[in-house]
Amino acid sequence: MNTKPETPLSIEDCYHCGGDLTSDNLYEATLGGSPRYFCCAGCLAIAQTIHGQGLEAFYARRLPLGQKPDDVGQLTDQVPDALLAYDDPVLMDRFTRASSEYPGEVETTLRLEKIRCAACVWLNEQHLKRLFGVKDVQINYVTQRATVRFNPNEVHLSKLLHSVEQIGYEAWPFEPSMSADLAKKERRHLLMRLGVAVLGMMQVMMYAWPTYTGADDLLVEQELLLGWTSWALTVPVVLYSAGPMFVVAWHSIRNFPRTSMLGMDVPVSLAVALAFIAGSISLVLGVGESYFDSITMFIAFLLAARYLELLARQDAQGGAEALAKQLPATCDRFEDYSNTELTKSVPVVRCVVGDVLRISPGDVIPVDGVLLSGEASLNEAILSGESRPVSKSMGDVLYAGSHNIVSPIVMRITALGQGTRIAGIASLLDKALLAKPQVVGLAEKWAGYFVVFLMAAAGLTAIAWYFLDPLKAWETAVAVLVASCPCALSLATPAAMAAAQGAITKLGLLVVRGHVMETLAKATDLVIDKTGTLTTGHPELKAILSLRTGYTEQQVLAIAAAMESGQKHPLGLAILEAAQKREIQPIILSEAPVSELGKGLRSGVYQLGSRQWLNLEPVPVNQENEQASLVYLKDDQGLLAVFSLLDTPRPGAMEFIKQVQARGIQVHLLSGDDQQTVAWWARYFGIDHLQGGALPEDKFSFSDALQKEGKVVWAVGDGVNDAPFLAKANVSIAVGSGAPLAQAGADAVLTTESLKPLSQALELADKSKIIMRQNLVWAFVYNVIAIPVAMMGLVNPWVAGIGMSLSSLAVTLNAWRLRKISE
Amino acid sequence: MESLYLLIPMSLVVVGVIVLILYWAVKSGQFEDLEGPGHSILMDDDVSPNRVIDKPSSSTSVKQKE
Repeated sequence: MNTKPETPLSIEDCYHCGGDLTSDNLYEATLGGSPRYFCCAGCLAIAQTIHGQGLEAFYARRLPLGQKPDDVGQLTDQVPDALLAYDDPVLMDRFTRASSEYPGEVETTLRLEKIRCAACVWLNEQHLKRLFGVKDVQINYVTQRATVRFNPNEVHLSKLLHSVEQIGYEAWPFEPSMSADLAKKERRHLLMRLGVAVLGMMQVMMYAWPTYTGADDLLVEQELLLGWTSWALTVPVVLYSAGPMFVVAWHSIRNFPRTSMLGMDVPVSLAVALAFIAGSISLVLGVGESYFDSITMFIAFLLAARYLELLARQDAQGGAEALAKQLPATCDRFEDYSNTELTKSVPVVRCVVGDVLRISPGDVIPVDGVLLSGEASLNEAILSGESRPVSKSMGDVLYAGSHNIVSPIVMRITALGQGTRIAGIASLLDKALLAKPQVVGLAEKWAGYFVVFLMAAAGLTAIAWYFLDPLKAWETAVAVLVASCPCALSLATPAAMAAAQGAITKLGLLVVRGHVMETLAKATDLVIDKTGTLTTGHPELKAILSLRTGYTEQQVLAIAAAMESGQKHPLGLAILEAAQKREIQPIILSEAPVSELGKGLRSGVYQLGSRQWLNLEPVPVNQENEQASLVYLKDDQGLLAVFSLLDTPRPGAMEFIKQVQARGIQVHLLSGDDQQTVAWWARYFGIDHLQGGALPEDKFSFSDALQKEGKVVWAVGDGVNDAPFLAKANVSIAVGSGAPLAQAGADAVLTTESLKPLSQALELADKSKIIMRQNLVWAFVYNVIAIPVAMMGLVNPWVAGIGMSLSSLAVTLNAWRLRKISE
Repeated sequence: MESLYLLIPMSLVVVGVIVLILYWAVKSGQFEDLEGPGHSILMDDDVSPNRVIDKPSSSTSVKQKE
């Protein structure tokens, strides 16, 4: 074929993943008529699969430079055992549902990983469609979810998952939860209501055109026709589009004696209802304004803002889903632990308390349990936020969600599913979200008072004029309502909020719940997590101490890097990273390094690990800080070098803490790390209040206690262990690179590496507070002048209309100033 | 201005039709993915039909082994 797609990659790069090619890892194959080179058998197998199906156009369309596939699942046509477990009837039932239109076929939803561009979506879609038995594939580009309809007698779930792996992606079945269904329904309903409101608004404004332009060549009947048509179109907008608002407002009023708080839907509903009734009456009487254009416009804008907020919120709330992803669905269970070594891959749902499992290194533990084998090194970062691996010995408790790092372990199950620690944290999060204090915005409070005042003013005017001149009573009362139309007031804060949110999103802070800016300005206490939030949670090589003459720092690093290559230990990764950064080629070792239970590595004469394991005397290391982790390198003649590694603070963290303290906000450092480490970092950042060893429950109750004292708590965190307290705090920000569950409870998500957007958000919050005040003052002054004048009957509706529009415009333009923010 | 008597009822009918179309669009999920279809229409075109036809011979691996 002549239309063979050209890739932008040179011959030195792997055809599939774009990785570097070296002479010792070169694979060659003829694909599409020309020779192609690959860095590994995995890439070769993927490219062969793609070309074999005539899907090579993928290489021309994709964004350049994919990831190197880290699985070798694609090498074989045989579906691996771990995936076969998905064909178990229990799991099949959970992840598939019968198709409503096609009898005998089932549907499943898969979550795809590693999708980077539209070409990836296309490739997956085409590839799955070519499987025998697959009837239909729909992939949503935005949510990266694939809906696959297939015949269960012809193809199995495991085969679907495996074939996605064969082209270098990952898929896991996704249990469509009740909440996801509800979210979809909510989204669709709101969209429909918004659509009706916008259509109504456009139509009614068109009918109002003659009134706007002052056309006076209309006959009375024609005006009546226009009026009643507008009315007919406003009715569905009020009843259908704004209907739920009335329901919420009614609940809020009924619960008033208990909560002594009125929701923001109350003034809005009152304004809409009053304007609609007033408009209808003037239509019947044939005098005065009909406010149908204002009503429909108001509802349409309000719903548009709510729809955008709903989308942002639903995006961030994938809590249950995130949890499902973090725990594997299958595990290796011992057939008969006391007698044989034989294991079988089974679905976790098939296991019961007391079963014995084997967990391979690199795997995530699916259940809570106790360790039966000797030593184990685990990363419990997802639960505790602690980045350093934790050593466990026989009999210790293991938690679902932790990562097994070094050697295979054997464990006995003590809790499953909802009984596990991580599920407990998730339910604590749900509880916290329910208990979240309602933030009553400034504008809502004012608007509430204002509506009451307005109704009183209009009522008084009507009564007064009834005695003076009964004919003019109704008209003046209506003029009061028009002149004062709470538009400027209701626009005052939302416009400022929208402008500020737009500006801060560009800087890297995604606002999920609307009140963030307003509450930030009021915050009195900042509760911040350490690992992953103030610090990056990744150790970095800070210093090398070369102790043998004749060995330079570069040489010892080359040896250490060679020993650590292929290891997954965080400290090892840091050493590898440092070698890469300094462009040091690892030496070639005579023997492959052997890992010894999380304590160290051995290869030939070299040993790399902790001091205790190497049996060394304490070395007088000139250490600038006692928090550093030390790694020792030794050969047959004794100690060679010491590497000092330290967690690194996030960029912008120091400035952020200083700025927060300068504003008089009390900073508390709360972390799951040990007290000593937390204290060291607190000193480093100049934070006085600290607590180490904090469990998720501790953080939650800490925040709760502060709130009971009347403090406004601002929380910043990243891990699953932070999720409940993020949800509990008055305003919370989750670090975007952290756990998805944490983001579910947060009000805003930080999308940058640096903490600088937080500082800027604080400045912006102050600025928006000032602008909101200006807006409210303006709206107030305008009303104070306009209402008495209208009450005296001096304003005709036409003048009132212009005044109202100008007032709204002034407020909006003032808010617009927030969009320009200093970098 | 006599035309108003015809045009306004007509506009009501048009609005009604648009609402029905919107209802169908929302219900059938037309708004669920606003990005993907735009890309996929570009993707699907240049798969040449002859490659697809000879697919069974070159892709034995995708046949389900029962």
